[in-house]
Amino acid sequence: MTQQVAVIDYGMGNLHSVASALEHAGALEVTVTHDHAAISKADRVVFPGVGGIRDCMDAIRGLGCDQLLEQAITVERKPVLAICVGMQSLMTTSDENGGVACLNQVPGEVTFFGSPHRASDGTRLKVPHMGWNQVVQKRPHPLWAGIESGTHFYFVHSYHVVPNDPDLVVGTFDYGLSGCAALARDNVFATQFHPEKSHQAGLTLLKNFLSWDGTC
Amino acid sequence: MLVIPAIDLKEGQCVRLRQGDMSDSTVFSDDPVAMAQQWHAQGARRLHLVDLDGAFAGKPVNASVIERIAKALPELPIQIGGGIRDLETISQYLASGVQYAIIGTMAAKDPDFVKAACKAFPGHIVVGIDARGGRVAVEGWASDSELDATDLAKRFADIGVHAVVYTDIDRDGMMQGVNVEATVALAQSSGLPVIASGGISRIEDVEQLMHHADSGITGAITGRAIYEGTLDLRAAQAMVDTFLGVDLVALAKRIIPCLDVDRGRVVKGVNFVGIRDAGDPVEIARRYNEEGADEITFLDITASHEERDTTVQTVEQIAREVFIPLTVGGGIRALQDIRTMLNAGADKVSINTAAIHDPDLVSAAAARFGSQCIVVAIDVKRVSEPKSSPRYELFTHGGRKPTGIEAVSWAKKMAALGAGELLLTSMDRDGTRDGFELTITREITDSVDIPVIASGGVGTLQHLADGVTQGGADAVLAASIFHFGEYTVREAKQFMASEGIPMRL
Repeated sequence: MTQQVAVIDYGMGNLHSVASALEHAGALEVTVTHDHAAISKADRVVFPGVGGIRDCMDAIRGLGCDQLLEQAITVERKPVLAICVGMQSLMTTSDENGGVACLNQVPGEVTFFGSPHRASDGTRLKVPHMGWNQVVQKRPHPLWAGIESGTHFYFVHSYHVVPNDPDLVVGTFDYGLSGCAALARDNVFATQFHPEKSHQAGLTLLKNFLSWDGTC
Repeated sequence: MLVIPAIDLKEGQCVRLRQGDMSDSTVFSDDPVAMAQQWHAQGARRLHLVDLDGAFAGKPVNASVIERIAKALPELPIQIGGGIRDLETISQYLASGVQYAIIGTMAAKDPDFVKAACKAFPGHIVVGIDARGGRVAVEGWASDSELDATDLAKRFADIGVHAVVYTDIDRDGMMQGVNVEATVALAQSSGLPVIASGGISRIEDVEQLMHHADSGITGAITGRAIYEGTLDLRAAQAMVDTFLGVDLVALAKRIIPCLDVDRGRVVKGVNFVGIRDAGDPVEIARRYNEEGADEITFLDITASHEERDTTVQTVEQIAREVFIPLTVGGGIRALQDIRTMLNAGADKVSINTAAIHDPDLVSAAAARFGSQCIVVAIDVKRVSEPKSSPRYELFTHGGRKPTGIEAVSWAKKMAALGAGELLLTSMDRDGTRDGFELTITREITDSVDIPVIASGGVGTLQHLADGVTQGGADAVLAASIFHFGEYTVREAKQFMASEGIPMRL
């Protein structure tokens, strides 16, 4: 199986680490691009994202990346990995920046942790949820291969996704609430955490993505 | 409280004795490494190894097996006892990856040796007190002494031993339950953390001990019971965690090694003077990454602008091979500097002096790049007189230039402007190895909702733990204790975990 990966670049920051982590995980050719032809040619697509959702959505729409994703997900049915704000962009709406309409690829909402955000025993929790938290695997999935449930991944976010269909959740984190750490539907896998910043566990997940055929 | 599986080694095999009698042993396995891996897989968070041959010989006999176990399970802290009679042996064990050395016979014979060991290897020394009818037994339990166990323990109260392993020989290997009263009495009279051993054979024994966790019972060693299946290790630890409210699914506290880089070299000075070369930043970053660092901070302390290109190249190189978050600070003055560093592979940038000159830079940066990548560095000094109520102010230029800005209100302001995290450095402590300035750390962590990294003054692993448990920090940053090979990042994480701090191990 070829390992041509397109990392969608909509101009919102550091894609360098996603690309080098993919290369480290064994991708033969990684292209960081928003060129339609290049993405169409790739075998698999990574949809990263950092920053505020409004600017991200503006950039995504401005560069036509919404159509690109639609094409990759529902027409070409390629394996797609969405990361952090990339994952949040797939939902219907986000509460961030006063409410922003997103891509509605996965019906659901993106909501704020709350301020102050508290654990069940009343202790105050910092927001953003920043650092290494354990991901409990809710369902088996090819991308979890070789990764134990409860493994730490690196998170940094103040908003989290709540898909309408709870069965899509394949991994959760605990931070004053049980949040969606990862969701999967057909050829789409999306993570709130950053596999490219999650050391060995993250590299394993990326390696699994590179050999994934897009089925669950 | 930890439930700690024991592996007793005799001629390279895993055995259990009854009441310490070498002629009454049962062989459980001839593969100690596999046995250790099995307990690790069942959720053990520490391993208790005993070199039985060593205890009788007075020097290590199974050291090579122990080293193999330590190498196979670098993330699992190990305590080792048996035949530890000199500092050289302790040094060799620690070098091979063992976390704690248990001094038994020598502790009874020569308490000053324990003192010397604690001084040489702070945080790594456990005292083993084995008693029969309240009297201390030595030399693999082959001989008794006139020494009272409690009296002996009291001698070690204030010299920095990590814990006492208290073994009741009458109960050991007899599967007749643990001597709770004697163990608790020892903990209470000595004030030391006590790990109970001997006779722990059913979950009820663990349960009895856990109700005394607040008296200082920090562990329960179990041997024969888990081998014979009368005690389920995982179930016992789960019961303890639930009872004590240990939330295993918790955001881990972070250890962040810091590279102060000047003209392409990692350096570290005391209070920013007396610079000492610590090596190549890429190489060092790679090492910390392998040791399990949670993040890396790169502070460019190069004075001149011309060297900025070197910094960008170094950041690029680190980002290409280190797949954990990377923060870059030093010389960040404008949005373009942030863009440059993020493009080079930084995940976060740290803004220091520029935030003082232009606080709006923080809000502009947060709006453009997201709060998650904006760290504001706050360098503070105590300005109040020793006996008056503490007041801390911001200083620039490595602590030389006062600004008159009060630290706590500044921290709140930075959080309100959109900083995603604060890096708090005590310039009074930086490079001193006296520990974090916990007063201001606590005050700031309690006043803002964003994460705070404590920095400045780390000299021991205990300091790192104190930053979290007393200072309330979400992450701790240190440089020299890691640069010069004193401790590995992994050791630091294991230590913090053993202090009950949630860590990614």
